Amino acid sequence: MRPRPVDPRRLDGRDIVTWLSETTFFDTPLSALTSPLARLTANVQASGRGGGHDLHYRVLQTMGGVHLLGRLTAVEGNRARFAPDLLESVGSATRVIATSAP
Amino acid sequence: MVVVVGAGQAGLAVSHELMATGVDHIVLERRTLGQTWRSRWDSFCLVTPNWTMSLPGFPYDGHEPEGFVPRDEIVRYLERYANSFAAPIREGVEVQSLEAGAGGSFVLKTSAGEIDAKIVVLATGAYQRPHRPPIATAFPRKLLVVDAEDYTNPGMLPPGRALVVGSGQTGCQLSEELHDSGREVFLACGRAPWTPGVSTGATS
Repeated sequence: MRPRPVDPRRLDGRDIVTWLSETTFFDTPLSALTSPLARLTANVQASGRGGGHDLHYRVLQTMGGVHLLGRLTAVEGNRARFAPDLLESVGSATRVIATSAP
Repeated sequence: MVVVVGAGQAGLAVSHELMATGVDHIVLERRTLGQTWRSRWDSFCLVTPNWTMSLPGFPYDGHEPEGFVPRDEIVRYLERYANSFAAPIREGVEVQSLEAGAGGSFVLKTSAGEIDAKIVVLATGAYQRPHRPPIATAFPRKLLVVDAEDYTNPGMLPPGRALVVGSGQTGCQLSEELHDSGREVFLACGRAPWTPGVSTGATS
């Protein structure tokens, strides 16, 4: 079974934030985190518009007309340059901490 | 006296608890209660479900706990909360400095004069100033560059392709909205941190 790349908006009919709450994800105090940086990982890649939906990179990419690029690195006149780091950036968002047996 | 700086959800929740325990206090708000929420773009909706609007003593009481209310309803919730316990808010009072006073107290210089306080609670939030990377100054002057906090809707932008810099929730949502308005969108992705994905073993 392939792990999910990012949390979906809803899982088994309930919102992902509801799951995060009921599985006590939000109850961990800052002092108990393995790294203070972990407190920054609580944003879901989703939107609340129109009843709520997933809004991760794959959703944007499949819309057609939204071009995903790497980081903006330079602006020269009317030209902008972007780093070739899109895969790494997307990868950092699709990190999977838990995998299950096949 | 206790002075709480900021009348967003944190300042209001502190005020609620101080009120419940009978502690004399005031809440100073530079502009209007819930200002940061009021400043969101027009189509903004809560990203976490409605039930998460649950400040101390004031749980969500609507009919859609797993829905996502629009911006103005978030503000309305905060207004109702403040009214529910008559929060002692002074809007339009900007704190300009906070210094040590005599005997371990504090002196706040505000747009409405000096205020002495024994205890000060800073509930000002973390996002008052837009983060505009130095590179943003390199864009040609004829190009409109808008910070997310000043963005209201696609109609405020001149026609044409749009570049969105930053792929956190805001960058992704604005990209979607601009796309829906018929524009070609370029999204410069960064490393905004997301909740790690969790495998469920279920087919998706």
